[in-house]
Amino acid sequence: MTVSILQERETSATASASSIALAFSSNVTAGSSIHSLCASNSDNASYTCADTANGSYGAALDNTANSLGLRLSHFKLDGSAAGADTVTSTLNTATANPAIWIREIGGTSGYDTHKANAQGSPGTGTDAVTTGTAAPSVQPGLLSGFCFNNIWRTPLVGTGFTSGAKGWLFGNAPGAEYAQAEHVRYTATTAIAATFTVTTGGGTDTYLTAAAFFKESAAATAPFKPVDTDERVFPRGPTTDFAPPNLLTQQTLKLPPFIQEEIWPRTFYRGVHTDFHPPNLLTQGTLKLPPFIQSNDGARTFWKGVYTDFSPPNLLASKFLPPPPVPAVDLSQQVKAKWASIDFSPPNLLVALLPVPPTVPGDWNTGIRVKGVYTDFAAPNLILNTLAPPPPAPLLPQDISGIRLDAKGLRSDFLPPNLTLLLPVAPLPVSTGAGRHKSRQAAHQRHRLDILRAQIDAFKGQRADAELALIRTEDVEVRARTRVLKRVRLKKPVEQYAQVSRAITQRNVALERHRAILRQLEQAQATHAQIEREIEAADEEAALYLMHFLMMETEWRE
Amino acid sequence: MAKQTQITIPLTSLPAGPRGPFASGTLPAALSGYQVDFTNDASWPAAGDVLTVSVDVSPDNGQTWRFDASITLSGGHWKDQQGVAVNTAAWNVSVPGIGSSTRKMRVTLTVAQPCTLGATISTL
Repeated sequence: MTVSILQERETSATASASSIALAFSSNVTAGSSIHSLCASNSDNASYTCADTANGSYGAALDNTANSLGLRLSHFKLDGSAAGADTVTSTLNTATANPAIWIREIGGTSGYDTHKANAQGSPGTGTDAVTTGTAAPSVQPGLLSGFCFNNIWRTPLVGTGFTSGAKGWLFGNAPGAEYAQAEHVRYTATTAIAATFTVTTGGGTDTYLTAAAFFKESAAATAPFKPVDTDERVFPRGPTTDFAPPNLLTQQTLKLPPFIQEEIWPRTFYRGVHTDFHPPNLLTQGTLKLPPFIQSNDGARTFWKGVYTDFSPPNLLASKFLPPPPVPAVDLSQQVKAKWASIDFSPPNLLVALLPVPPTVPGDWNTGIRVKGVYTDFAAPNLILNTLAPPPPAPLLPQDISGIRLDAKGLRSDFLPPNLTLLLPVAPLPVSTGAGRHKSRQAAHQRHRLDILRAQIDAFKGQRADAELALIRTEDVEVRARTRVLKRVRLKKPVEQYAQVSRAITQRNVALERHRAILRQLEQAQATHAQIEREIEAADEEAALYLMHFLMMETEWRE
Repeated sequence: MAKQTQITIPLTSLPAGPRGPFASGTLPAALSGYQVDFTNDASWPAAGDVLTVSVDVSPDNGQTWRFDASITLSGGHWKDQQGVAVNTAAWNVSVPGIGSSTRKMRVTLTVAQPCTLGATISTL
């Protein structure tokens, strides 16, 4: 922080007084130095200086007086406490014309040196009024200079100095001040003086000058601490934009191949927690990324690790493929089973009103109360009152009952040729109960197959959800671990470790859920394959039965 | 800015003890300071602390007050720059920066010795 004058005030009186006090207009900044100047019209006077925030200022830096009885003393105080502050100058004896001037110097590490002077008739030369030189011990710093004369002929500030306030009116109207403050920030340790230039009065007055030097505080830059990759601590900045030009290192940053090939062509980074700029990336040549930092599943790529958190919101995932949607089950396509006189196909089956997929496995052999993986055929989903009329009975051989008459016309006589005798059709071979049973069983199996397909699709969707949940819990865990490591690095209490524990628990729960879904999926796929084999066998048997039936019909017709 | 009277305390015999506060109206925003012009008479004590004059400033029309400056006047003749005894004295206090138009000031006298004093507080 650059050393500077933060604020200054002054007051003066013509009456005889034993003390005079003045408050800073604004609260004093912690660590500031205070330069106070006290004056009166008695060369026998001495002053003590103190303020309400810090106490006594100690001995005066200088006491100067002229032959006319004017006396000027100045004091300093370093490392002020913050807050409202009133500085009081107390005289050892009641004295006329008391005055005090207070200046707050900020950005300083404290007082360095001082100088004061009393001059009579210094002349009107440039910088003729001077404190005399003093050499600061260090640089940079600030010289707080001050000039007080015996008559209100305010001198001009010296060459290179910045003007402070003018003041000490002692009852005069503004513009007839007796004193002038100035300051300059120096950047060398060569000896310098507070100087002023008199332009009026022929330079024959008496001038009291004082100067105090204050050291500039060191820049508040934290020393660079190399990243210890063994500790797996990576510094993070408050604001990060990984988009160009921040990501200028993409041409030179040597990352493991698995990232190098995947990131650069298609990924841009924009984060809020990570700063890959130097000095954070000073270790780019030696940074060893841990194996767990990579997780590349093809279409979706996530990089996670203690060092960096590329997951949202740090990584704008707009370039990533969105997570696969949960497949919508179209029951009108997948549920086509017809059971007895009930048609489960639309519109009888109110697919749109179906609730979320239930988890109760279906039992298709218990009549109306049929439940599937996605479908609850129980009321109100299954509206029996609106069922379509039952389909015509299948034309089976046993349903042909014999001769049927085909009457023509309303006034037909039933004599030939009006009466056409339809010869009875020879009875078809009687279908055995076993064949009918096989047919219904095959239909049942196909229906189960459809349900299993729906189940498998559902499990795939649930698996995707579980994978996404697992990834999110891993992200939470990584963030929690990173916060803990950051606090460890900063040597702060690690009270956030409970968050890591919670994150690990959540991740384990998600992992167990994922495994359970995988087991269910595998079981459903196995059942599906078995039923397919059974249906294939049933189809072969049905084909043989149909072939046998056709052969018998052909033989009968012949 | 022209000198503008804010508070007038007529020449009064003051017994020991606190007096005031004497409050002003709203102060001009552009003031660069204020001046207290004291008047005494021949009864002014010869030695010792006579009274302390304290000025408080309010930034918010008198809702809150903050100490600004004070002076403890002593006994003995007041003299001008040339050393001539006078019955008037001035006390100037600078006020840096441009303030708001909601500032007020008040003056409190703490009398240590009975005296006769008048004061006029003006903004500059």
